[in-house]
Amino acid sequence: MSENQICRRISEQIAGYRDGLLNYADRQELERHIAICPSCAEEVRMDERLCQTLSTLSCEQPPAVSWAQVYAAHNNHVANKLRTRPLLFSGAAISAAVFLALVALWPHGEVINRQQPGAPHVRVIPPIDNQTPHTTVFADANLVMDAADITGDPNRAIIFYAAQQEHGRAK
Amino acid sequence: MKPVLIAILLMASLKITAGIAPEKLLLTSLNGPVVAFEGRQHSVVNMDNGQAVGDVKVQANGKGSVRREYLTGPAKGVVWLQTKSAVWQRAGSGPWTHLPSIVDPQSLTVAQMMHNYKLTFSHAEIMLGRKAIPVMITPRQTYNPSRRLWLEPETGIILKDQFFAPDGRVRSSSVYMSLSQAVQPANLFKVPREATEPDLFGPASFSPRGSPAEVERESGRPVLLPAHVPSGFRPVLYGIMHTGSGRKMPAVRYSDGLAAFTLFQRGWGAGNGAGRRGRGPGGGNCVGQSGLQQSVVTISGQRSNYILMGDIAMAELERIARSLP
Repeated sequence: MSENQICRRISEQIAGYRDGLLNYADRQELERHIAICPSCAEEVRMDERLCQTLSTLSCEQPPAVSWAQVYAAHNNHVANKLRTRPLLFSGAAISAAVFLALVALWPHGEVINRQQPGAPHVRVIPPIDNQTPHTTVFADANLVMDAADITGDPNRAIIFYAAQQEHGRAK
Repeated sequence: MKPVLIAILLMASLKITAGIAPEKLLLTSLNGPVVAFEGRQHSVVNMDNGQAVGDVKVQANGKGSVRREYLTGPAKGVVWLQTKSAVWQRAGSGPWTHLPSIVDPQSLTVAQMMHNYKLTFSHAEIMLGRKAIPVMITPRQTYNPSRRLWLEPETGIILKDQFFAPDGRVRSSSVYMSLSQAVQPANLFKVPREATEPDLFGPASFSPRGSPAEVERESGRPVLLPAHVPSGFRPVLYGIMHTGSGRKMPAVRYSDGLAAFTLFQRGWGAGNGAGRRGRGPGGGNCVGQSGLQQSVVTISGQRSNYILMGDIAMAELERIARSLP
């Protein structure tokens, strides 16, 4: 991997680093890199400064709004657009909408679980052991507790945890 | 149950050679071996993306302390030490980490396990020239995992140990390849003088606290609990997760004696805004991830967002998640 690629990868991980969402291996890699790369180190510092600045800002309350007014305004806007749109473009828009709907509805890895009638949908991510980045640290913490459970088999949690780390490093 | 009572039960169980009461037999094995020995285990852990194997050198002093040294496999170099008061771990020659273990879990854990699972004892088998009694621990609820042990009643040594997922697939298997009873050097079981909190497991480490009130005081957030808790589960550990940005979030671990799940809070919830209406409790959406070793559910509640992780079936974890405030 070239230096540029490494920097790009590190740059993508800075937000996760700040929020404590990186796993141990990724965090170690990032910390090692920013120790030797001034530009990435500066990016981390800028991210910290930005967060500090944002945390000092006060929140502005949105004005009270009636949803009926919002819907009415939206409907008027759409009606005006349709009135002014030539017929030729309407056909193209319908084709584009059909195409987008097909792309959006085409199955691509996620399965909708409808096991419980009446219950809202649960998105089920395919069964893989590598967690999504935002759950990794929690999975680690859960495994630490499993490893400390002396009435279980510590080998299971310790070997599984180490294998996950190895898998993360290989990725 | 006081340690003295546990010791009496242990001694009583040792004297009985025939017709041993199941709870005493289980208590003997789960409290740790009552003889000093050194052995080598071979462990296989099944995952969705393959298999991880490792050999482990196990040493016990016969007084409740056990030391495990991982010789091969992904955990090579890790040393795990269980004393009567705590559990520690270190990687290679690195610093010891104090793992968040449950105080006095044995008596309650065994009682819970006896209540929530069905124990079936089979005829003794000979393993490594020793008499091993196979014990099948079958769940009363379909969402729970199961376990099979081969234990030596006289010593409390678990000669073989298998864990199964709720759907029956084998999660892990550990078996002794060699074993010899002999006094082990006392210095191997010394409580580490200095140890760190388990921050080596990630920037958002978990630290146990004595009570939910302590967690609330320190985190400044209420400990939010689910309205639905599966039959037989109870909270066994309260603690705090430290996030990289310095926030402290409550976490609670539940156990039924064999299975466990942990409930982590993460930031404030989705609220009851109109834009979120109808997507789940508190308006939040629910994402599940099911693996052979553990299930994960993330959900946005009204008062907080949550991640639930555990070794029970994902559908049950989701049911718990949906009952959160």
